Amino acid sequence: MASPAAVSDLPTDHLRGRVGYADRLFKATMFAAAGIVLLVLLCTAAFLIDQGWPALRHYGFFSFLTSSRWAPSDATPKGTHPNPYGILQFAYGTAVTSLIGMVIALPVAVAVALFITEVAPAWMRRPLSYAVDLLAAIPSVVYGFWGIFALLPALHPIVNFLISTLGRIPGVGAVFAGPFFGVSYFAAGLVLAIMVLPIVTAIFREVFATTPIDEKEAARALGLTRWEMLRTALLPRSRSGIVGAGILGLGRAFGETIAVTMVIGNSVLAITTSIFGQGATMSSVIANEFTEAVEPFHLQSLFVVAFWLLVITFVVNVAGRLVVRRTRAGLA
Amino acid sequence: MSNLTDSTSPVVPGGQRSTTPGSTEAGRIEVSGLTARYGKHEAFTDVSIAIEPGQVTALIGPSGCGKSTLLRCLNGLHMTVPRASVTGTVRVAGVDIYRSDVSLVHVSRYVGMVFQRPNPFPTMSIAQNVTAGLRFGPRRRRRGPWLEEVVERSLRQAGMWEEVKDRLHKPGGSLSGGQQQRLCIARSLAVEPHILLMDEPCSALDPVSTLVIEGLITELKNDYTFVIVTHNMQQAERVSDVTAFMTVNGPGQPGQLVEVASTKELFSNPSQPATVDYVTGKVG
Repeated sequence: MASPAAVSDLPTDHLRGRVGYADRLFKATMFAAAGIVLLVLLCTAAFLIDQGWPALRHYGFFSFLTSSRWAPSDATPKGTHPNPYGILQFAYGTAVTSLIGMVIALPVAVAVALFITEVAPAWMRRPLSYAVDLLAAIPSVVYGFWGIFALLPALHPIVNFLISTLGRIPGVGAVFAGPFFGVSYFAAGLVLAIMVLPIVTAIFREVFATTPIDEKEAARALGLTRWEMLRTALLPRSRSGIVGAGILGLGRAFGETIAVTMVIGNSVLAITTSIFGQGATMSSVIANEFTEAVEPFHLQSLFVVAFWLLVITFVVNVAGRLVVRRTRAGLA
Repeated sequence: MSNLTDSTSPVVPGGQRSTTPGSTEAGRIEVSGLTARYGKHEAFTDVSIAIEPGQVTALIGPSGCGKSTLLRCLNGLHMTVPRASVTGTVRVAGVDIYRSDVSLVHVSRYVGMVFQRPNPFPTMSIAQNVTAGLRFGPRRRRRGPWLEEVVERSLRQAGMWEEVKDRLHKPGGSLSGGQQQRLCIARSLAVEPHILLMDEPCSALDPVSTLVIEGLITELKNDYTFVIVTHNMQQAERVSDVTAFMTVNGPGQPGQLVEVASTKELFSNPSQPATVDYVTGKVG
């Protein structure tokens, strides 16, 4: 049947054929899509440097990071020292408000996600998830508005109590010192906590839902209570997910602008030690000043702020990924 | 008063189990008129069976007959499934475990369970896996030498101490499938239960590991009451003293307990036609 002449008719012949163009096109499109993302990132960084270049060249690349005083009115076309556009206090404000936000949001998000995935009765889980997700749908300017007129007045008695208690502790007391005027790092941190809560909770929910039922039942079969089961079977294996969600939330907190600008007080002249004092973040100063940046190098210096914000966010995200990878390696 | 209702748990910390294992009522299970449901669906109806201590009872039957559900009713794990319910009674050591004043947490310390797929906790070392059931509750404060003794004793009981004693701090997931399953057995034994339930414990294992586990069951059966669900009739013949055969008339129908007899008799001289069909391989 299979004579040598019939070799080319063998059924394997089609294996040599070319794969259709559709598949190649698909592959190329995917590569392009991935490439565009990288390109956008690089172009943004390049654009920020380009726009900030006059200021960077005039004052020196790192001189912005050596001062915490932002005083555009001190700037002159000639003078280079000291750099009137110090940005350390903005970096500090971004870090402190985000930290406050995450310290409050993470435990709450873990608790809410645990409740939704493990504790709540079945009929309640879906509506509750939607409700939490809806928090993300509220525009940030509305959060800021709510912050000014609802949150700040409500905070006064609480914060005054904290000032008279925590504020008296020698050493760390300075961090909780008064006076308190409402607008503050603390208020901004609280608003951020509410704003990052939905995204972080959503990720936690996904992470917790991936715990195999086998392991949860194993814990139950050992006579562990529900809480002990969560601590034995669910939380340890969720570590990398929790860290990852935290990093994502932090990225969101770093970038959040309008709501923060509305409740932080926008004090740009120095780092305020107390979390109940007023300050500014890197994004809030940009939002506040770019329309009226008329002093020499003012607008260019705002671009420098934006550039460093990008750098910090990038570094935090990369660091976060490394942490996630390390904790995940421990799991595998 | 039985140990089950005693909130200090049936186990004296650091000591032996408070009753002589296997020889008294302590390891006895009595199921009567039990019906288990998932929502409205009945997994099985009206099952009555007495499970005696010191021997191995096998539950066999076709898929969907409710044998796994029956097993999960014996330690209350069934009730952790949303909308699951039971009627009838399950008496463990004379106590109805579904009575409202009995905590299923205590029940599952008394009645251990090993699952179909080996399920060691992936973030924990071998030693931590063994003591996972002891990290909380009244025993949590005991540390140091006592805990090390528990690890060694449990791993010895599970016949794997010599294999793992030099790598107790390696992850539990680094073991082979058969070793992982024995680690899970050690983990259950560490809590010092009186009864050990096994839900197809060898179905994910190779034949050699299966024989090792079966040997382990035979070795331990004087000290514990064993109830094992298996799809493998040869396994039931090899390892069990008593076999209960369950069946189901069709999909969606509730399962039923057809016959309970000594394993020898059930396989050589079954009394019910349905059992005959199943053990001779006509169905299932």
